[in-house]
Amino acid sequence: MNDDMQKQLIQDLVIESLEGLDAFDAGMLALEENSGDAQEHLRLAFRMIHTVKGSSGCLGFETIERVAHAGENLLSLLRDEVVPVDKPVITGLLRCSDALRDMMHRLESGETPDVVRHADLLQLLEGLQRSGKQEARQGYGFFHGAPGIPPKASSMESAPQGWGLFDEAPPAANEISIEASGEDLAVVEEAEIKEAADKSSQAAAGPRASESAIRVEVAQIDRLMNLVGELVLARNQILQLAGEKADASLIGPIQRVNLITTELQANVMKTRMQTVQTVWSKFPRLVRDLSLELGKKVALTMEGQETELDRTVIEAIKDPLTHIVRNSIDHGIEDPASRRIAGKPEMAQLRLRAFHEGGQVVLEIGDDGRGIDPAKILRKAQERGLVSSEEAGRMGDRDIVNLIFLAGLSTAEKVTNVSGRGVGMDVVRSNVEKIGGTVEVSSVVGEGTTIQIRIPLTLAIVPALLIACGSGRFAIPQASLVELVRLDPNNCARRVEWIDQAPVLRLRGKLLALFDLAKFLGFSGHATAEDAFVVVVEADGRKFGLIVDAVLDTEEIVVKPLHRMLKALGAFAGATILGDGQVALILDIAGLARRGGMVGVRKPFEAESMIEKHELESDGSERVRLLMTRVSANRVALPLEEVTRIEEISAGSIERSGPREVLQYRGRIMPLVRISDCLGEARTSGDASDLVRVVVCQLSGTQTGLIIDEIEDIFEESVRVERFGNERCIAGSLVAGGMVADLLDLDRIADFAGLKGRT
Amino acid sequence: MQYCTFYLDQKHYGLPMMEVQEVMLQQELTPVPLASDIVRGLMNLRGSIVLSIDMRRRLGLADADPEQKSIQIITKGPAGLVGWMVDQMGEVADLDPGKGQPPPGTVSAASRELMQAVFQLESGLLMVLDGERILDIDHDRRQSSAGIN
Repeated sequence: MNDDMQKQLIQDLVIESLEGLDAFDAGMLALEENSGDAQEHLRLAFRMIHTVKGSSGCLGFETIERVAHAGENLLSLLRDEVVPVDKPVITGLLRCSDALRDMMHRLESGETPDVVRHADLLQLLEGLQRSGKQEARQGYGFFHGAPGIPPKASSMESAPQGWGLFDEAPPAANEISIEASGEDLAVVEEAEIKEAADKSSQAAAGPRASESAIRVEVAQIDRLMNLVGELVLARNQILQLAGEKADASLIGPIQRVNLITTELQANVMKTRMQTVQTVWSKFPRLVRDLSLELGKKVALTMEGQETELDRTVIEAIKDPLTHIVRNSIDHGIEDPASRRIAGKPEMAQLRLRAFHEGGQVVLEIGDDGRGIDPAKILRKAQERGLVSSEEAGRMGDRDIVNLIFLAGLSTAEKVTNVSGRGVGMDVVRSNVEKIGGTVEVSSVVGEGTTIQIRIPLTLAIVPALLIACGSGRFAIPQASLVELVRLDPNNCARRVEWIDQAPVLRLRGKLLALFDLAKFLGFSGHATAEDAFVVVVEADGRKFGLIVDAVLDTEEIVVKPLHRMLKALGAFAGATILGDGQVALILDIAGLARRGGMVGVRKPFEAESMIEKHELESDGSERVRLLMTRVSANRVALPLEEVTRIEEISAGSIERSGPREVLQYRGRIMPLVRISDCLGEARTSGDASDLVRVVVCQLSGTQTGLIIDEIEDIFEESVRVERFGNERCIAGSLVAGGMVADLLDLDRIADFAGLKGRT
Repeated sequence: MQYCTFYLDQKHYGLPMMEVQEVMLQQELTPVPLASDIVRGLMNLRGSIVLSIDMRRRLGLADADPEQKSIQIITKGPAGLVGWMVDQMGEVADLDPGKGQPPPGTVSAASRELMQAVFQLESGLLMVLDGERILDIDHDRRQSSAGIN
């Protein structure tokens, strides 16, 4: 065997075994929790470890074979119910899989695994087998090469044992035998199985390897992604040229190139997607080990494992998530005794949730532990001089709880080897923010803590707002964008005012700190027009406004890294190539805040919370942000939180799909709903070149465009919703900005538009 | 060893050929606010971003006539693509690295730091630059403690 081939075989062995061992762990944990069919878990685990044993034996790695063999023996006793399923046995088997994993990693880095390191484990496993044997009433073969045939099992059930790389029984037979469990297998069936087995005997090397999937190197996909990025840029340039020099014969093909590129981009992005499960699969084991170590009882539930994220994002959140989970178990969750005293069930709940919201992915880690005591946090923060007493007086509980993200604040009363060394949550936050995400905590003392991480779907291509400032154009990632305000010197709420040298804006009754971006970037002699724009952005939990000359467009930009020399400036997050081929810099909002001295203004969490969603109650009065629009003569309000984006499209780009009006939007088909229809108003007529305003939001999980006539304003008000009539799409009426408006009931609009039950 | 040579203010400079990816005419540049003044901007090279460095400014020479079309020598370093903005290209010189000498002590320390070696050619002296040192403007700042911004 030549070296390359040997290497390849080893590589295959390692990848396959590591995957198998993960499944093995999952099976063991499920077994311990007694969830699902125990025999099925055992069979699966058995098959996994057997493959490891068989394949490594084949390649001559006797050590691995020996460890796997010991595990397999114990497992077979477990399967035959000679050994009971208990903590020591499961721990032993998990340690066995750890040892195998360790050896695989060594193999990968070119070492030869040695058995001495695992002598203890072998002894432990043997011990466990012996104890099982003593307990068993009817003894049965101790250590034969393969597990014995259990007395009551059918002959087919013993198939797994005889299935190694070079064994005669092919995996197909094995697979079938599992399904066909039972003692009364007819001869005919057996024959059929043989036949099926012969056909698939070619696939002997890859157990369960699905034929419809191939392994592709990540680097290859990254290259592909880069190329698609280039293509997107070239496409943008072509589109721009086509717009300028409209040659009718070219428009058709160009439109096609445009569509194909968008689709290609979406599909290549999809290949880079991994499910959150990739990270979460490690947690059941982590939770088990930690709770055992700390003497706590924790039940882990996971929802939304199938939520997909770009692999670069997955990489980046792995550590923060692990840290938060550790923290939850160590600090958040009480020991069983304290929980009993507090009147809670001994078994604590730790819940991981992942879901999409507004173009972002939300990851939530919630526990029903003791919660975070704001008084304690505040005392600690003041002791360490992180918060002045004057600031402390102004802070709400929510702000205080979010102080846990400050560096150097740990409230663990004792330092354990799990957590509590004062490094951690600040690192979590900086890691999450590095990828354009945000993290927030909400907690109720005695009831639990929930940490919410919001992250963009992907890092490579991001939606951004292009702005003009001084002589340049800059991109602001939409993730850090809050809203846009056009300045108006005649309106005190739309005018820059000054406190000393600092410009501020009155934004819905709150003072917003402003930066003159041109001055800040050193465009000297630049006078900002009075009707310039303020781009309200948020970074590091602070909200501030950037004064810019003009707002140009939104564009999907491909983020290109900057030369190291420019990274050090801390003002730019990267660069991108615009439709006209020019380079534009991407503003690093967090960096700007730091450069601009926003850090000195230690008022960290005044921004409205994303978690604390103000549910609009029909009987109460809550402070909400509303997007005010006009439809015919009606003022119609939508909760701003529901709004993903606001777009202006030409009426001609609206297409039809069945009875529905639709729009091609970001490579997908988005249904449109005319609010005038919902309100029973006549449609505003216009020709194809007219601009139509579309509010993009999620209706029953479907991204939908609501067509309205005009956008009026955004209000943040304490509103009371009152209901007079029984209009089908209106939740009620309210007063905002001194005028009465109708509040849309999005749920009923979904119903009206027939979008319910689509997902 | 081959050296890619070029001219700045009539003076003859060189770079090891190995580091050079391509040579192109001056492109449109996007200025980078806040950056050191040796950074002339960013340009789009077939979808990659190139950082353009004004070599005259870097070597402390007078600015070129703005009317004059300059040339970018593109190099690929570990920190990204860099365009060296020069006046004019010279020949490719095939020289024995052993023949190169360190610049004499009378040359200012700041310039000496940027040079790998000096070759004596029949047409005059060829100063071979140290690519990495050229880009390390922080080093200069550390030396002179004069802030750039």
